[in-house]
Amino acid sequence: MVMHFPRMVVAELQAVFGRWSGRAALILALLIPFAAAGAKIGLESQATEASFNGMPIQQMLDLSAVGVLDWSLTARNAFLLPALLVLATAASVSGELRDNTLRAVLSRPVSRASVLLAKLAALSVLSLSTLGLSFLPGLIAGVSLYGMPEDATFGAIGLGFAASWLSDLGLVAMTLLISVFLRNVGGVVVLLILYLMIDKAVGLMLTGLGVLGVEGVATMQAYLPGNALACWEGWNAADGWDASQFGGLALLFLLTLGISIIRFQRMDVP
Amino acid sequence: MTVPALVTRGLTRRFGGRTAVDDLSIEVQEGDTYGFLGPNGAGKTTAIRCILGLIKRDAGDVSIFGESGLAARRHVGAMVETPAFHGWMSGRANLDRAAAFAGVGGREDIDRALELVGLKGREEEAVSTYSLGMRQRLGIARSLVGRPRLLILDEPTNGLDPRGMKEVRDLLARLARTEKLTIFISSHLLAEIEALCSRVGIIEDGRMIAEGEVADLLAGRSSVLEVDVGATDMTALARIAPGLPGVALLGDGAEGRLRLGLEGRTVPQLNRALLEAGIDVEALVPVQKSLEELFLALTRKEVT
Repeated sequence: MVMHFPRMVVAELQAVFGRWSGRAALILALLIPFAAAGAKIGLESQATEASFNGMPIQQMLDLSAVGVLDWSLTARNAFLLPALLVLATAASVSGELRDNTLRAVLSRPVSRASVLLAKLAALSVLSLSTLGLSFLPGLIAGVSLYGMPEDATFGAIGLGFAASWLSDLGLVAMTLLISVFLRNVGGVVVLLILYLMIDKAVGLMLTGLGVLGVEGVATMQAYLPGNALACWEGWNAADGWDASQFGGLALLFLLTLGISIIRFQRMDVP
Repeated sequence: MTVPALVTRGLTRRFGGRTAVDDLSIEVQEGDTYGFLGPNGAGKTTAIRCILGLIKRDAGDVSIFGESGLAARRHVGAMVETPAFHGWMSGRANLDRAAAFAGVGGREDIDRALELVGLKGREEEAVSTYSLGMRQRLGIARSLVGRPRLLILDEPTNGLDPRGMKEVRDLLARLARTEKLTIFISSHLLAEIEALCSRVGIIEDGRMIAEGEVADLLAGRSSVLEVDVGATDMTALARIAPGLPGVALLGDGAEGRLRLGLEGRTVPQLNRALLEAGIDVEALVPVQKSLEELFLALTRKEVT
């Protein structure tokens, strides 16, 4: 690793946070916990009499700080924020290859692997920042509304946020892999969405095979990238965290990053 | 003996069945301002990309101040074609970024580069507000960050208006003179190269077809000396001159004179022969061949 790697990461952070995708991700991440707290307050006041399947909606609402954080995390990890992270990653590699800004960097005495790793580090900081921006205001809003949680779920939701960061790293690594092959930011996003759709279909097919009694299907399913990326859901799962999802995520991260680095080192830069 | 600034030996790059750079050997000495010429599509940019390691080479070696690979690039600052920047960042931030990735330079170094290209005072403005000429100068400033010994510039005046071209040309001449930089510059603007460069290499179809000092190349091209001759009686001159031994009428010369070609004869000998033939000579001007004429003769392609 080059000695000036931290300087490279700082320079890359400036670019990642300066692009609209980075700024939009930060703003959205900050809005999410307020929206979650607002939704809780709204439903609590509006749904005093309402019921669902015979159960009063108020009873279904988790009116606690953890409940606010749960909604924040779920909303954050739904489509928009991962999409912005994918866009930020694609812009940082495909975009810079396309607009030739990477050319000036790569004609200097710097290894291509370290350039890619600096980008990964900066994008991981972006992910961490968005998680922090969703967690802290969510916690403050939740605690002010419902008091400090006293049960173990508080620690669990914290782990949920931490697992989301790992999940983001997997997503960033997958996007990097596509970005070193495609010089079109839109193309990268479309290809990734297509892949995740195929991944979902394969997952459903494997579920079907599992129902039919085919052995080993559950293990295969756990290692599917789409499933591995959902590892954060384990914080609230009935049967707890699924270690194989994290194994799948580690495999996904190392494999996609490794191939990305090899490809990036060998590719012709326009 | 000093180590050459840049040496390529047998540099070759193929794209599918097409050989873009074919067994190219270049030698640039320290302190040279070397012009790299060739028609469009001759392989200049591909060769430069190979030298900078932006694209892989299929064969050959590149050495810069005796080093190869990443170590060699420590000595180089480069600008390949139109320089690209992060438009929303300031000029200084773009240079900071380049310096950070290269692991070179600090604030002083960047200030100096901005000063050299005349962008001091404008460096905090977003690059998106810069004119094309300013971007070009910022590109040169970026290549200067880290104080490289060799500057490789690919078409540095591309797209500039005549004033912008002159500014860049003056800047490069100043850099070569005051900073003692070795400059390797590719261009298809021959007047620019002729004004700037001491040595040139001309490539066509990826191959080097001529390389050397500009003056030597121009002098060594032909054994025929061309002279524009003016006389009081131009009709008599046109009638008599082709009959003199070793003299050929080539056509019209500059300023209404006749262009004569001398083979095995000197200008004073021609003067004497014309006077003896009764022609009152008013002017005898040896024709200085331009790089453009040499280039066209060598490549037989239209200069674009």
